[in-house]
Amino acid sequence: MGLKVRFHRVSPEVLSIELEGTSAAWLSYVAEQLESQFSSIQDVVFLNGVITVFSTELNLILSELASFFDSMDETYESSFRTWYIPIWYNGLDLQFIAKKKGMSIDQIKEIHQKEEYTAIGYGFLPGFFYSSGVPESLDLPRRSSPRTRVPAQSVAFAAAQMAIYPFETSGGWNILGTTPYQFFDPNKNPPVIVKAGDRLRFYEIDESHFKVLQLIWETSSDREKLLSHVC
Amino acid sequence: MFVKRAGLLDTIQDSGRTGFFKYAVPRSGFMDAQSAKRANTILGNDPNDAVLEMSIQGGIYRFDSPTFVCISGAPMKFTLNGIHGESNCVIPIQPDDEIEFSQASEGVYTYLAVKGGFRSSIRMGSRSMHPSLFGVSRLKEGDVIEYLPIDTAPNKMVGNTSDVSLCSKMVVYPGPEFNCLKTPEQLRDLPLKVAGHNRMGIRVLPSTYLHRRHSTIKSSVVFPGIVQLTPSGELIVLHRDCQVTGGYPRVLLTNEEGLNQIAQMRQGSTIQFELTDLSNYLGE
Repeated sequence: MGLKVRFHRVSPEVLSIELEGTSAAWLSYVAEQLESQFSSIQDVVFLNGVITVFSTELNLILSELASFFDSMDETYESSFRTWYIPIWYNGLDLQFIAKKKGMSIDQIKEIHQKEEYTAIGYGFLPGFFYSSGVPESLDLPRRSSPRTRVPAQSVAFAAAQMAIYPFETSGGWNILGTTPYQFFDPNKNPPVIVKAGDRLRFYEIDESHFKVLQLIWETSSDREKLLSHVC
Repeated sequence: MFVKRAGLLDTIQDSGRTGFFKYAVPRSGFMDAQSAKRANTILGNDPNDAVLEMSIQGGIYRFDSPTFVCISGAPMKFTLNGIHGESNCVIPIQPDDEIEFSQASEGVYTYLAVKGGFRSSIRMGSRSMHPSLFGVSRLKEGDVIEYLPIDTAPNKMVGNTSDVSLCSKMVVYPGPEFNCLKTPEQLRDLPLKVAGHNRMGIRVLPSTYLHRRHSTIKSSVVFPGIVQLTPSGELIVLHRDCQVTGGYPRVLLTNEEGLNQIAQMRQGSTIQFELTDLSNYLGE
C-alpha cells in the first residue's frame, strides 16, 4: 500500500512529514499512533496535511519512522464523537454579521445551528481548536481590525473556520455568542475533550440557561456526558 | 520565599513542558537556559530545576528558612541584608534574610536559583508559569514560593564564574520557507536592531528592507528558534512562550545557543545573523 509522503528535516529535533490530501481526522489518528509507538517522540503536531514530530533522538528513529509511514494506509478505526455545544447568542458581532449577510439575527442563528462542524486541530492559544464546516451563507473574512478583547468562551468564525476562545484575548474573528462550557482545563490530563475529527453541533440557550449550565459544568465530574447531548 | 516587592517581570521557570504542543500549549521555560542552568549547577541542583526569572529590574525577596542560593544571568546588582552580593557563587541564606535587586546593567534575564529548586505548583508537567495555565503572567507582591529548607552546604561550593555571554552575532540556518527571501545574501553583515522583546518572541528590524518573494503560506507549525518574516519586513525570533502555529514564512531558524543569546539582547541593541548551512546544524 503506502502513502505519498515527503520527509522534511527542519532541525536536528524537528521533522515535518507531508501527507497530501489527507483528512484532519486521519492525521489525528496517525499522530496518536506515532505517540503510542515511539516513546522517544516528545511532541506531535498536525496541521494542513503536515505532521510535525519533535524528538531529541530523531536520528535514532528516522528509519523506523520511514517504515511506519510505508506500512500506513488511509484506513483507521473511527473513534470520533459528536459533541453538543450550548451557545447564548450574545455576540458582539451578531448585528454586524446579520447586516453583512443581509439576514435577520434569527436567520443567522438558524444557519449556525443547522450545520455540523468538524474539529480539525489545535493552534493559536492553549486549547483553541479550529473547526471546518462554516457554510458560505454565514461565512465572513476576519474583521479588518482585531478586537483587543474577545471574552472567554466566545464562539466565533472567520474564513470558513469556527472556533471557541478558551480565554479572554485579542482576536479578529466574528463573534456569534458565548458557550457556558470551558473547553480547556490545565488541571486535567488530557486538558481537552474535543479531538480533531470530532463533530460539533450548536444549540441555542438563553441567559438564565447559560448560568445554570455554567454552574453544572464547573461542578460536573463527567463533562463528556454533558457534551454528549442537548442539555 | 516571600515576594516583598516584585520585579518588572518575575516568573518561575524550569526547562519547560513537552507533550502538549498538540493542544497548542507552548513549551515555556528559561529564556536564557544557559544562565539558569549555570545557577542550578553551581548549587549542585538538577540543571532543569525551577528558578526565579527576573527581567531588567528585580525585586525584594525574603527567605523564611535556611537554604543556599545562586544568582546568574544578566548582571544585576543586589544586596543581602544590605550588603553587596556576588553572582555565580553559592550564597548561604538564614531565616529572615532579604535579597534586594536593582536594575540589570546589561542583558535582560537574571536568575535566582535556590538549593533543591523552587517547589511551586506544577501544571502539565512543568512549573514554568504561563498565563493560560496559571491564570497569572507574573509574580506579585505578597506571593510565597515554596522551597525545602536545607542547612547543609552544597558539595559543589566553587562555581563556574563565567558571566552571561552578550554576543552580538547569532547563528541562523535556512528555515523551511527560506526561499521567501529573494536575496538571502542580503543578510550577510546586515545590522539588525532588536525592536521588541517578550517571552513569546523577539522582533528584529533589518537596517535595509529584505527583498521577499511573494508567496502565500498556509499556517504551519512553529517552535522556539523559528525566525518568521512579517509582511512589514520585520523578523521575529520565536521564543519559549511562542504559539505552536503561525502564518508567516519561516525563513530562518536558530539553535539553542542562539535562543539563549538573543534572550539577553535588549531592545535597541544591534546584532548580526551568521547564516550557516543547515547541514552544519543537522550534523550531516
